[in-house]
Amino acid sequence: MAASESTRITLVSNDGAEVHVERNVAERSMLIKNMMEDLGEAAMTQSVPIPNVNESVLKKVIEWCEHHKNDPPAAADDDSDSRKKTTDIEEWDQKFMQVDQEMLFEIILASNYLDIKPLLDVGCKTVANMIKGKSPEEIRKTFNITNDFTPEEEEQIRRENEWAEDR
Amino acid sequence: MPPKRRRSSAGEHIALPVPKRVRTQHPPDRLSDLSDELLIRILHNLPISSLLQCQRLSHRFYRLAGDSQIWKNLYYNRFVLPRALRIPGMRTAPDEALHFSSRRSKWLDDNTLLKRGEGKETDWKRQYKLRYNWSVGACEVQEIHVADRPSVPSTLVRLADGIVVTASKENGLQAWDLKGKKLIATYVLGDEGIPTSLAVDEQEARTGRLGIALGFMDGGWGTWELDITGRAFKRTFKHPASSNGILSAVAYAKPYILTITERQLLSLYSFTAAPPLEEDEDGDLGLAAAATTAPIHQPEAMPHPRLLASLKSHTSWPPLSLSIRTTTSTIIASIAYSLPTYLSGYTIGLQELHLSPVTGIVSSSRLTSALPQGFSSLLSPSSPSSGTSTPTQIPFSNEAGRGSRPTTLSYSHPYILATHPDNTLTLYLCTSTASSLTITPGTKLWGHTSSVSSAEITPRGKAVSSFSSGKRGKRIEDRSVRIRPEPKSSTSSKRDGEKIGEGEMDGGGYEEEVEESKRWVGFDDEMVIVLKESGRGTQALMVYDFT
Repeated sequence: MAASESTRITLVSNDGAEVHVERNVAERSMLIKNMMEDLGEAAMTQSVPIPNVNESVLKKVIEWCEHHKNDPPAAADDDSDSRKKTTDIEEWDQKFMQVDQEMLFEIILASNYLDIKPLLDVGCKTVANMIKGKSPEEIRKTFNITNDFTPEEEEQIRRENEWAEDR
Repeated sequence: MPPKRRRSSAGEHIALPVPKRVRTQHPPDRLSDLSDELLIRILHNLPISSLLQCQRLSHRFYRLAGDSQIWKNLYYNRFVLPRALRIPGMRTAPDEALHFSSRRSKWLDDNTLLKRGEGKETDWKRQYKLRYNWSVGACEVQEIHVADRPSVPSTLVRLADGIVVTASKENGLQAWDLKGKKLIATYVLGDEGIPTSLAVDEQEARTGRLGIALGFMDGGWGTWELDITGRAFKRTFKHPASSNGILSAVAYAKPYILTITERQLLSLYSFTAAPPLEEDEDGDLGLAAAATTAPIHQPEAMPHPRLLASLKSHTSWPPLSLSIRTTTSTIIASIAYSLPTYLSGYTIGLQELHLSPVTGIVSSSRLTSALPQGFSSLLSPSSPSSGTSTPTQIPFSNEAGRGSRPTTLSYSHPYILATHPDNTLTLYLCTSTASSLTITPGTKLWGHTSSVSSAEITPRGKAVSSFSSGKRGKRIEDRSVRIRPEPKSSTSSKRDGEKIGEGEMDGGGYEEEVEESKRWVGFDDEMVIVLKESGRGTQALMVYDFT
């Protein structure tokens, strides 16, 4: 780790922008980490294309990686393990996620693509918090979801789920 | 491009606004644009109430928020993990070890839900709802009318695989479908006698058949086969009346029948052929087929069961409970009974007969009782198919308080549940290994407000009891079906007993005021059945549906 700290690599976003980043920061992404291992020395001289992420999102993601570069590596096990409560988003991350919906979902997609699990979790929890405590109508409004149920169908589901409504 | 410049811009990007994009007329639904996988990841973070709200969003969300993986996880965290944490050995394990995992070993006795056969996916949302309803005591109550007049003796009832089987002199043998709440088959007993005991064999339930055994007042007994889809009872055997007296209990696990008379004469029969031939599926079917073609009134034509063993007990007292269970190497016929002791009233005894499934010969017999001082078992094995063995019991002083004579006894290995007139239940756990048979000292369960009239327990440790309470002056009875959270099954039986004893009463109950008295209670994973008799003598089955 110590040796690679100063090593910088170049990422290229899908809109052609070059982003230079410390290697150990970029390697928060499992995708990039694996690529680096495959490329070996070549990675130091070549730029790495990131075809699914645009410049602004890539920079945002790298900003997160910078801040979290010293986090202990996440246990690489079954991904449903040890999830914390939704409310447990650390303060810096909460602030980081105060972006518009478009960026929020772009971050989720990018972190999924780049395989940065902790960032993906933060994104998912942020969306979950936007859903929590809302009525179906409010959720639809928040995300512009089209209701494709007939009123009868929706009523039927409401009744089906009555058992836990008082919780 | 000089790296230096880029670096600084990357570092200071935070404040830069995201470039604006032209919005379309319809604002985009970015949430629904995500893949199923990502949406489920998001939904995984939601509490139950929000998940249920999400199901109402759209067809797609209905499906995703009902995803079995999500509910399996919730089920684990709500119903399995808290119990796992109470098992001492597991508590000391590193935290990580207890987080949600599909590994079977961490699901305790709920692992039956995990190992359903292929093609039979567990609907975890449904399971969660069911368990939740049990825990809060929410259920739908329905009544199935059985008879207009009271029966003497009272109607016998058993529940198996969603089918209730009832037997009485007046109405014969009847089967009721719980889902449809209707009668599916009747067999008129006529002059066959007065049924005094009933047992149902569920081994072939998967193929839509239940084996039924009835014991009669005159000492005779018979077996039937209920074809659930064909809606018919088929007489498979009739054993003539005997001088041994009323059959007070039977147990049936094809091809074995265990009966006991009121005078404690225990008999074990086998329908297998006398030579040591292994019984296979076809043999069983052949037997059933032969039975259907044979005229009912000539039971002599049927293959006669062999009497494998007969025991007379002088120390066992009613109530008692019989059971037969089969393992790969042995058939175990057991009888749980109440046992008087000199110093401290009653306790529970258990006797097991081990038989070889190949030869059908009794290989050993052992007994134990729930005396506190480790009165351990393994009395000398009695000789095969012995005539009479008289178990002798050494009385031990028992702690005071325990030992009122049980009113009912339910034995479903490994649990024995006894009800007492002093409003308590006692739970015993038996451990039966190749070398020993033991019962833990009983553990009192409190919480009933009046005498428990009936209780049942399943092998997985779920118990249901019903009790009534008289109110001053009037004869109104307050009946409750109380649901106890399941005692956990771990290897450490003694600890288990203690923990159950701490009264895991966080389970809710269902309470209802009724004027009737109830006679019998039975249940499966989804429903509780109570047979009730009203003051006017009508009989009905009360069905408490927790789905």
